[in-house]
Amino acid sequence: MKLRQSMTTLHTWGGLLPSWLLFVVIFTGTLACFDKELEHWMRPALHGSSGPASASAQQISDWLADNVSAPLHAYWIHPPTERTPFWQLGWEEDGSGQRGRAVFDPVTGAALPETLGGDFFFTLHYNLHAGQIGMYIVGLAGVFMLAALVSGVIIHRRIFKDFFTLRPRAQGQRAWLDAHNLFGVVGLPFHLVLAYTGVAIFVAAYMPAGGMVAYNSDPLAFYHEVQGGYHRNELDRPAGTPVPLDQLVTAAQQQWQSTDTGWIIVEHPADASSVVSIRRRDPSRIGSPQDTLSYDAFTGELLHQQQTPPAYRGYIWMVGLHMAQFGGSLIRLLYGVLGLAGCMMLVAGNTVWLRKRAARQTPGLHLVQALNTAVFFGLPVASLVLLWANRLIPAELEHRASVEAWSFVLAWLAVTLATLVSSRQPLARARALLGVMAALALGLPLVNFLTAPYSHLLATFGTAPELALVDLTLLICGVLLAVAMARYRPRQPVPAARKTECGESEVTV
Amino acid sequence: MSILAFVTAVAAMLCLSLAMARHHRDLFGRPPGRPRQLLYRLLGILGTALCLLLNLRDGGGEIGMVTAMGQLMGAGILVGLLLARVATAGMNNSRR
Amino acid sequence: MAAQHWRRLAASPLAELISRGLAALVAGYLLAFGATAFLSVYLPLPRPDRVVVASLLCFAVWVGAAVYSFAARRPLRVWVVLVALAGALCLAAWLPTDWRMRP
Repeated sequence: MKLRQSMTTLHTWGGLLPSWLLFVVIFTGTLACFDKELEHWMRPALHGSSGPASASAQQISDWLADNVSAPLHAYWIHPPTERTPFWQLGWEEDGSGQRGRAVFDPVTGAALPETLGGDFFFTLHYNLHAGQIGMYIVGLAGVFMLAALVSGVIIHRRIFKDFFTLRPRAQGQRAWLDAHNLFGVVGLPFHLVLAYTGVAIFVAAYMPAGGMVAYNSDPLAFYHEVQGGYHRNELDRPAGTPVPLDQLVTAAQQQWQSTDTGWIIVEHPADASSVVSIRRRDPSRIGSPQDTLSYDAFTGELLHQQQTPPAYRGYIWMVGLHMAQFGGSLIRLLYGVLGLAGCMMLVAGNTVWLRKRAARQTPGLHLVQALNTAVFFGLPVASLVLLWANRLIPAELEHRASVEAWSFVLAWLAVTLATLVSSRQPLARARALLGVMAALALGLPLVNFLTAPYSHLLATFGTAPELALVDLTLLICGVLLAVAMARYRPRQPVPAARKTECGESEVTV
Repeated sequence: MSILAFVTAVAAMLCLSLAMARHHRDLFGRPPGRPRQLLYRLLGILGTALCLLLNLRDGGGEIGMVTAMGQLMGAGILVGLLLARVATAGMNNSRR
Repeated sequence: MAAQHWRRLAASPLAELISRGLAALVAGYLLAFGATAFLSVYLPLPRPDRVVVASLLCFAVWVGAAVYSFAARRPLRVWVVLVALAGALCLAAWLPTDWRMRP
């Protein structure tokens, strides 16, 4: 077999099989570039209010003690920042490992109504909300993506000559192949770097060989030396009176000579071994040097200052490059656009696969077609429905976040079922779903206007641009989707000569 | 200024595309002559370098490099889409 | 009869595709594992840096192995080469018991 031919096999199957999973990962990753903006948008209780940010870390910690009775393994607190103007709290219960999350008003310190928030998309992006197993599945998909990218470069005959080529009216699969190449090749550095840095984040879980051979599988020694971290095992003795958290935060800020506090982590708070670690946040660097300071929770003594070895700093840099928390909104905008290009690359690639086989009636054709519709349309529809639910579900409802999650799941199921039972042509189906998406996107700013007096476009325009931009983006996407729908006229039985002309307005999904 | 840098990136990508026979034909009806092709290519490379410099000036070494790469990739996709538009419009006109 | 049937199945393009795909996944991972272990020991760097650099390179090795799995002429040879190489690398990494854990 010639190299190019064998690489075509790898590219075709290594690309098609994980493509739907990769679409979920890349689409939610694109949304997760703006997770903090979405999180803020999904909490209308924060909008419109202003006042001195007077809540403190201790207040948050007290709320946890009053509201969660189970013994805690650890909890972590993040002070308000420019992009996240609220206190964040997360905790993990001892034994069951169950995790919780809450967000607090920066002025009053009151807990806000629960919502899945932008965090939902971030978690879906890296573990599909399926914990450890999900993390391994996503990692495997990432390796598939790397293999597909490399083999794709090898099989591309005219990578520079066709660099900008897009011929929407070309016959058959040509137009889709052009689109696949344009989004894939021009965005190649981004796709490669993001896929590699993405799988690298959990490398210690995916590839334990280094720790096994050089540290004799001793995870604690590995952690101490590789990350320069600090950990104290439980002493199984009851805890004393903890030093107020705010005092430790002040001490940390004095140590760094900076006020950029990141996560404040309290490990086994009910045990005499409890340690408070405070991380530094520096958004002006790609790899924020965490510089974690670890304090004894009861004496306030500084136990350890993190000294990261050079290679681990390189790792932090790669993770930072993936997470896009550095720089300003320009970075996230670029990541967002290129992430969408990645989605388009997948959609176009799968369409090429279908087009090539449509005439031959290959087995599996209908399955691929159905999966395409269910995933490529189902996920965006479900994401929009989630945002609708966020505005429509009353703030005081119990288990509000799970109701939101159900709305997301049911919307996706509905699209899938509609795909399975509809007898329509794929093109008509795609057109209908484009219409649904357009209606959902255009309707959302309206719902926002009707339900949230301080959050809608008229209220936020000028005063809170980061919120207004969410609505504006929805409007722009809605209009674009509506235009796309209007142009995707169902194919009429036309003479062969005219068929090429409406080639542009075809979509096979 | 990042908008200026992005405009530079788009101009650079446009120049690089015009150095190619197909896209030059789409825009001007004929392939570029040899000297003109070299000129476009030179302008494209200079534009790319300028975009990189502008970004490095604004964002510093690390972040400037990332924004420059992002802008160049975004500009490349934009130019590809624009050229497709122009080419299809040209086909319609010539048919009429 | 049955043996012949199996032989024909094993020689079919689908079987070859599955064999190469599994080799890329499983044997490819084994090679990446071996390479990471080997480099974690033999890179001329302090221990934490050796381990991190070796681990970060492992995906490149895996993808390289996947490309080889499909590019190689004979599908069965892929398994032999990848697994043998992975075994040799692991042996070289684990045999020097004290030296492999040097700081």
